[in-house]
Amino acid sequence: MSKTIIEVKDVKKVYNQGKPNELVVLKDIDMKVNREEMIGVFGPSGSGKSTLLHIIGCLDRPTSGKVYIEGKDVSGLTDDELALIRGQKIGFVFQQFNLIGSLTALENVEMPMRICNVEKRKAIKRAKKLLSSVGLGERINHLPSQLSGGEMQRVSLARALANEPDIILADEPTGNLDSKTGKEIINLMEELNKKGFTFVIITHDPLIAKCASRKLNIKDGKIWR
Amino acid sequence: MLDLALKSIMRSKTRSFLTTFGIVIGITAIVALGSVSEGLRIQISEALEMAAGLIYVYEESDQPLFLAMASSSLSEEKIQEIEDVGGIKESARFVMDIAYLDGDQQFGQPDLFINGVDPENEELLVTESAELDDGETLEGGDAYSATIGYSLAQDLDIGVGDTIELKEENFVIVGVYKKIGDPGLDNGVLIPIETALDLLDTEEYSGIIVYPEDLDDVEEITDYINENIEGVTALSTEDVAITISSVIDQIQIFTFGIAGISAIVGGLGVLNTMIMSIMERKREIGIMKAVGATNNCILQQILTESVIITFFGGLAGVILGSLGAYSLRFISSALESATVTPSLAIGSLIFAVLLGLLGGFYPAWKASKLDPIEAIRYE
Repeated sequence: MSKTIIEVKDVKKVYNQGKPNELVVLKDIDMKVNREEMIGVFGPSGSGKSTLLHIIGCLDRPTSGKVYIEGKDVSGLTDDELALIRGQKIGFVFQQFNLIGSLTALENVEMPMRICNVEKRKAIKRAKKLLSSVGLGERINHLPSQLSGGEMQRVSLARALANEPDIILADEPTGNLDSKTGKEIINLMEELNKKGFTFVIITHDPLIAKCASRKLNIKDGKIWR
Repeated sequence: MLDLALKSIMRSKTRSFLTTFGIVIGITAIVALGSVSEGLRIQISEALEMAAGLIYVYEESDQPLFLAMASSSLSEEKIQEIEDVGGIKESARFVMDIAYLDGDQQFGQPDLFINGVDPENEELLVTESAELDDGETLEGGDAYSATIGYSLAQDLDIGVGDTIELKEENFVIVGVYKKIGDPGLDNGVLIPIETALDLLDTEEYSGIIVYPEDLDDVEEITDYINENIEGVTALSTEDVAITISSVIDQIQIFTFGIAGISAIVGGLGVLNTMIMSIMERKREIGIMKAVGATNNCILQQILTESVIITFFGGLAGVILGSLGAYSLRFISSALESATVTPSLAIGSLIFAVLLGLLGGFYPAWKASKLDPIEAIRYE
């Protein structure tokens, strides 16, 4: 297995290209993510870091340049091919948690597995295991509205792990949490990183800066070392 | 993903219920109205099967089949001309009239049919396979004896030995038939033809029924009569079947048209509901896509929801429609034959599912094309 999971080459992202309101969000980005790294991506708002995360996470396509995931060029893939990669290789954690409000914690964690055609019985078993590994074994049948912010973020971490992804992409995972629960989430991510999960985390949180194995600074659509 | 689909439907119970109800109404209408024409078809095809091989000859007319038969009159000479055609084994001339029990003519179905027939050939008119429930045929009685159909016997609560008054004459009932399937006979009185001619004050016959020596000659004899005897029309049972089924087809197109419109309105309700539903769930759909759902997966999910709604709506519609068809029996004896055939029930259910697919397709397609990033940001 190659050391590099993700490689980004000369990636440019331009919105409304050729129009008067053209907006260049990313210019000539080159980066690599290695296995078992925990990368912190820092930068002011509007710097293009979320767009970069979306492109790495196959939610968005670059205007030009290439993105390789495990050596495979994904920049020319169809919507459905990208969806399959997201389902199997990538886990997302969002600032707003983005849990489905009508589903219980268990069902939220189960969902990505069901989408990838994992048998229901197996999916439930694994979802329960994941929830107890993030410390929510007792609250699996609660709806998101019955959970605290920290608990919701634990559910979304469990959901990100559902299909045993190669990499977890987090967009300000502690941004909506108080510092105490934020610390708990960071500890959890550190633990998972030690177990071998690779993380790319967009953040302002100095605590994450401390434990990140590598830091990237983005400003005006460019990486500054 | 069936459980997820059910969950989404149950999330807005009232809306889902109302949408389903729209489908229920449409399918109920299709099943209930369809049962009438289906019943008619079954009843008539049974009656015609019993009469297989017979040829009906009546006065040529521009009017449609039944009116032509009802208003037909043939002279003694014409009747003899027909009787002399070769290849005929037996024939039965008859007169037919309608009567109203309380004397006044009313709008709608006549109460009974008076059929005058040669007592020796009664079986040709009622068909060979008709069976007597009680008593005997006219052959054993005198000029003022009568045999009656089962519906009439039931409606008037009369039987063998009772008398029935027709045009101010009393007839003694000598026989009661079992169900034949032809309303003209089931609601009819059969009396000897000579008496009937007197009673109706006529010398003309309504028509003649011909039975060939060889069943293979039916077409040939029919054609021969049509071509060589002026002023008459000969129809084989098969011809009658074709004519009747085209009439029933027209009835069916009309009833299904009306019922179909209400079902399509129900389908529009599904379209409307699903569009609202995906608007509300935009974010959720974005999340599902982010965690790996393909466009196809979203499409299937939304279609599953709309089909669940219309399938259960259709199922309820078939059940209610069948109850409706059953209760039609108590409204009028003309609707007594209303039948929900398996093909009607299954066809209606398939139509309901089709409505779900059609009504759900546009919203499902729209949902599947949502950009996940945009959808997740949507509040």
